[in-house]
Amino acid sequence: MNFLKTAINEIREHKGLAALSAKDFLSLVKEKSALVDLDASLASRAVNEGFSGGEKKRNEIFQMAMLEPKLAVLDETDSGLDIDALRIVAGGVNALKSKENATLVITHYQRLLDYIIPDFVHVLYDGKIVKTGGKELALELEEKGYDWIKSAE
Amino acid sequence: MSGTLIDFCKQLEPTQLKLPSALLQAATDGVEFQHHFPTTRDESWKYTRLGRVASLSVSALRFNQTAQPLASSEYIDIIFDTDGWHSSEPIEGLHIAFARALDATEWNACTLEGHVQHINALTAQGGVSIRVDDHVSLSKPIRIIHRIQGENKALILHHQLVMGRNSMAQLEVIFEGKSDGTYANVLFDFFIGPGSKLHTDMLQQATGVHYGFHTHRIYQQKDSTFALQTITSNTHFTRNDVEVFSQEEGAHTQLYGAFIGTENNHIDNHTYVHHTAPNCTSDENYKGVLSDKATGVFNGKVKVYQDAQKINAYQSNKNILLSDSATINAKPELEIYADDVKCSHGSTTGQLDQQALFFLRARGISESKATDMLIKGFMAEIVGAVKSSHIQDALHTLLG
Repeated sequence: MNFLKTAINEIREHKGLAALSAKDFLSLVKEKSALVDLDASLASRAVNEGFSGGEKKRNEIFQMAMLEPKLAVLDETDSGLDIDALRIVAGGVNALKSKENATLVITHYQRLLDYIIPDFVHVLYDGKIVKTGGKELALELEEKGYDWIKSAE
Repeated sequence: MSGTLIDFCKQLEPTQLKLPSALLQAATDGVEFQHHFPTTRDESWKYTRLGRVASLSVSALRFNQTAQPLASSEYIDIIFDTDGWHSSEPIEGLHIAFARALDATEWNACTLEGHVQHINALTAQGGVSIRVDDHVSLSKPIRIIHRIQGENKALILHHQLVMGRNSMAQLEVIFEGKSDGTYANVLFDFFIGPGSKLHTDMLQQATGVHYGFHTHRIYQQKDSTFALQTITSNTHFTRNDVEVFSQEEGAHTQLYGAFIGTENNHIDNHTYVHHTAPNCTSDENYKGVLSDKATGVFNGKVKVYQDAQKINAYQSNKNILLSDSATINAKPELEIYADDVKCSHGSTTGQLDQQALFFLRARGISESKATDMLIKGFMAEIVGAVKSSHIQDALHTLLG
């Protein structure tokens, strides 16, 4: 919690904004934690101490909501999540989507993409993007596997 | 008395401190025996060189028997300054006197060992003697401030605090000021009576070229509790010797310390806990953060004597080095002659956790701020043990 406040104020300082008051910070916490169904008591716990897999992920999305980054990279956010947690995490990502920011989601499964509808799907192979398409590409991959792209190379 | 410190020692005249003759003899012999200063060949000075100290040219500060009065505040203040010593009016159950007026029997428990302690015994210019009566719980903390100022001065003091039975007190000891080529040798004897509790927070932050030697000897009786938090920050040269005599059953000792060194600071912490009685506990935790060319020394020794069964002694020392030229010499020692005890000791030294640093930086926190936060987290255990709000504040400013 403390580190989030520091982080937000450092970012605000960079943008030339005044530091957030404690009151404003707390109301921001309340607003953003509702987004990912995060219990307020979770926010005051030490980082990752005694968090379950789902709580960890939700906490990360919560941090993302607080920090409002221009570009967020979510590396396999769906690993180790149960169905409910997946929906909450995806809901958080969707709610944060705006014209001003971009989110890069790295995943191996269609499951997460049922909730987060991607604008573009890229296939990364051997360090290169080998195929680009819309959300249909992901569905096609789910059906056929990756082999046909590899062999097309 | 003036001249270099080594001359000082050669022409030592015993002070008016009423030391028992046996002790006085030991002190005189000690200095005559080692007309030289200890070198790195002496085990307890292995990592701390005294060449510069021996050639210091100093003149000793003198103090009057009577203190100049101080206005009362939320503390019972005792101040040693270049212009003499000052003291608040004591409250009920508390006695404050100049140490020279002490009765010889008060010193009976003392032992004298070590170079710094010999010099102190022979040349102490006084000190304060504090007594807390039986069954008294002091409503205000006692605060002793040493203001070290000026050039080429020597501040040699011998303080004493006696706690009666079942009494309770909180003490703050502060070393501050800016000076050049100064030497301080301050010895503090604590006698903690049966069932009494004393909590002591010490802050050492005198700046400039100052050589500080601090000796704490603690004598604990049955079921007494003594806690000492030693905070040393950015001092040119500091040597702390803490020696605890856990003499009767049920005594508990807590020794915590935090040292922060920058530039070419040298900070040396030696502790020695003697467990001579059974069913006692001791808990020791020292943490250091060193940057630039700073050097730290930690030597923690615990000795459990043969009859001291059921001892629980815990010792930990952890250090973080922030630069490649910072050094730490850590030496935990255990000496156990009893067969039914629980003792542990450990020492670690490392750099900041790069993963933790990355975690914070990935969230937009600058490197310097992230470093500050991690150090603050590292020191939290020690800071949390400090009761004095004044020293807490100083630590918060220090740790960013």
